[in-house]
Amino acid sequence: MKRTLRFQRKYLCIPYVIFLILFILLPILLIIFYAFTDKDGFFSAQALIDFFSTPTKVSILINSVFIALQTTILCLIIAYPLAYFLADKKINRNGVLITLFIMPMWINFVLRTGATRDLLTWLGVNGGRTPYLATLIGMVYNFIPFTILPLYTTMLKLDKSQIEAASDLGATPTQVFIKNIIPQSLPGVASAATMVFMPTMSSYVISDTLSEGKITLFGNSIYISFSNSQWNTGSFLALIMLIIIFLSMLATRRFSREPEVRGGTW
Amino acid sequence: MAFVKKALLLVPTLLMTSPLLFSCTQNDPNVSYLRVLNSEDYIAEGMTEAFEKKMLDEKGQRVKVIYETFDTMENMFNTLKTGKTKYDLVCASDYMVQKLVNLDLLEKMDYKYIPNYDTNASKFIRNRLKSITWGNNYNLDDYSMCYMWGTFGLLYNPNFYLFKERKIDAKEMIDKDMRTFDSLWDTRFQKTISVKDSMRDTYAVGLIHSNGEFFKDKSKTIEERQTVFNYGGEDDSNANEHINAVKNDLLKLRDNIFGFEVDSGKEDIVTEKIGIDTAWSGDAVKAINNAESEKNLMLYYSIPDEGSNLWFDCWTLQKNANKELAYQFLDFLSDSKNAIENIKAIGYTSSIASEDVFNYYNDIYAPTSSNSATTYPVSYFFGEGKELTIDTKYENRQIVAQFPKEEVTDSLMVMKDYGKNNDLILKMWEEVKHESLPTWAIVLFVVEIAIIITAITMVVVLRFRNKKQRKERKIKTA
Repeated sequence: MKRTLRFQRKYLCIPYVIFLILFILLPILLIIFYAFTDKDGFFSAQALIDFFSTPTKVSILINSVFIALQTTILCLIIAYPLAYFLADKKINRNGVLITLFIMPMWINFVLRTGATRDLLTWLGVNGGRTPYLATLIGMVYNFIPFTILPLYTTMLKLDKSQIEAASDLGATPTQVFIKNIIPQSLPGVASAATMVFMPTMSSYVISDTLSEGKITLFGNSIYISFSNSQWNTGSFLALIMLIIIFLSMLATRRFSREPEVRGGTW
Repeated sequence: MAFVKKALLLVPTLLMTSPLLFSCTQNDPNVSYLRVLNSEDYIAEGMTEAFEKKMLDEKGQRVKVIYETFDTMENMFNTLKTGKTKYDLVCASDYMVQKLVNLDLLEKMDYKYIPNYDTNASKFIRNRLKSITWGNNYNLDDYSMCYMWGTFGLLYNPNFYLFKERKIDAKEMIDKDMRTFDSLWDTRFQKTISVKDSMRDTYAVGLIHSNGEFFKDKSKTIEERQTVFNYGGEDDSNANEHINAVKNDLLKLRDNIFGFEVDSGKEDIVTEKIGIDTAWSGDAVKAINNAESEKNLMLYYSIPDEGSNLWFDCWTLQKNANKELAYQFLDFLSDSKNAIENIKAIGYTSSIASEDVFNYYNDIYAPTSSNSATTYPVSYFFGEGKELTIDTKYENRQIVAQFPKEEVTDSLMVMKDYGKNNDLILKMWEEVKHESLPTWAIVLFVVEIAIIITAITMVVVLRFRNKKQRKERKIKTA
């Protein structure tokens, strides 16, 4: 039998597998290891007990979920109609408009946030007085491109003939919107929501700069723990974040499947 | 913009920390390497190259300085503890030196190899370093060579527009209000103050405020002050109680201030976003100079009468360092000419108190006319009878930041490492920084979550029903 090493297509995956192990799986395992050990590396649930017995930490988590949720909702409310109109070829000829809306994404957000702060002061929104308002404006501004893109792509794929058929068969514009357009665009909404909710949960530069350090988000908490050599506490906080991200992924997965609109109408 | 600057700094830092770069330069046996880890922006440009050149010219020795930087002391500590790179010299603040000594990471200094420092360093600095003792008879002077030092105080703009609106007199502010930390709690200055988003510095402010009566009492000795100033630390038997008192004060402070900052304050005060900022002396000098040259704005600096934090940034010799070369480098930095270069570049005050340094300060703060001349005694630092002749416009401004007034030097205190109590103070700090949700937010939050949950259940139920109906239809048609 002749044994030769022949190139197989699956070898192309090797770089990705190495990447996956080194930068995704290994760090997650490390986080879990540190989250349940003490300073000397022995098993300990101290970080877990500490977290749930410290009202501040839980409260910071709730604050972060609150900010993340508000940002997601605001982004969707603003981006949904926008994406709908941008998907219309008559309005958005050669895609120039969509590029304009996506453009801020290309500039690093730390730089952008510094500028946002000056802009907000000039507009009279003062982070020292209204930390929540300033933070929300900054968050929405930073994450709206991530909402527009997935919504825009779903809106482009909207089945126009179905919409026409619905109105031909006597549906009012509101009915067309609720029974047809919304179900069709639901996968876009779901992926847009995940694109915003998760990064806002862990972001802290934006809130720190714009609220003048008055709003502490979960990401900030993790950073402080690590910079004060509290590896175990920090890892446990990071683990909680991972769990929340995982849960929100599960929740949105329900909606990202192609809806059975067609099947339902037959 | 600080952000732009930081981002730009990142590029060389990344390049320098890249291990690949080391591995290809490090194998030359004819070159001695010196690895230095310093705080960002904390040395004059070209200083390391000048040292390399000097070594080659005078001793014929080929030296390469590998210079790296860090952003905060805590990050530096983590680098030292976890990193695989070994350094020869690391710049660390007073309390950090303590931590490093406790972990047995440092080598004792032998000043006979650093003659420039041994003869020129201010006795004031050396004595204060010697007086900071802990543990097994350790003291700061044994383990660290002071590089820069300074104070923590109030940087303010007495002509801030909001102060005018609120009818606060500029003169009274300089003479009275800004001579106590209590003013940070004063509602007349509401939302015009930034404090440091830095646990140790703001804790110190809270500590001084909560023990205000004690610190204002002029009869207290420096040793007594030093003890109270280190409340909450490892040696304090009533730490919990003291930390709690500070927490309550800081929570009140938080409601009165504009915000917390670490970097943006010195710009915000120039752009008139805020009127008062707690500041480190070197930053204050920079801000005062910038404000005057850019916007013709007069900023002031003060060290409150209660006293304040005196800090030292020191060079430390790491275990297994290339001692000979490290001493040469420290001696080079302690040379008057180089010390002045560094002072010019970074704005902080050096520990070197030579005649040249004295003349340098006499030059830059020289009076413009004989009418505006005044004397400023600095004998505690430069030695018996030394007085700077300065222009009156620098009074209560740059000069106070460079050299605290002679009468306050006895109320300047050094804050030690908190040791195992660090976690307690960190917890307190988290509570201070955290703001619970306002009522409107809670209501909104609950309503939203209710809506989301009903929406999800509705969708699930509908889908389930659809499926069931289809199944039934299929059965029927079959």
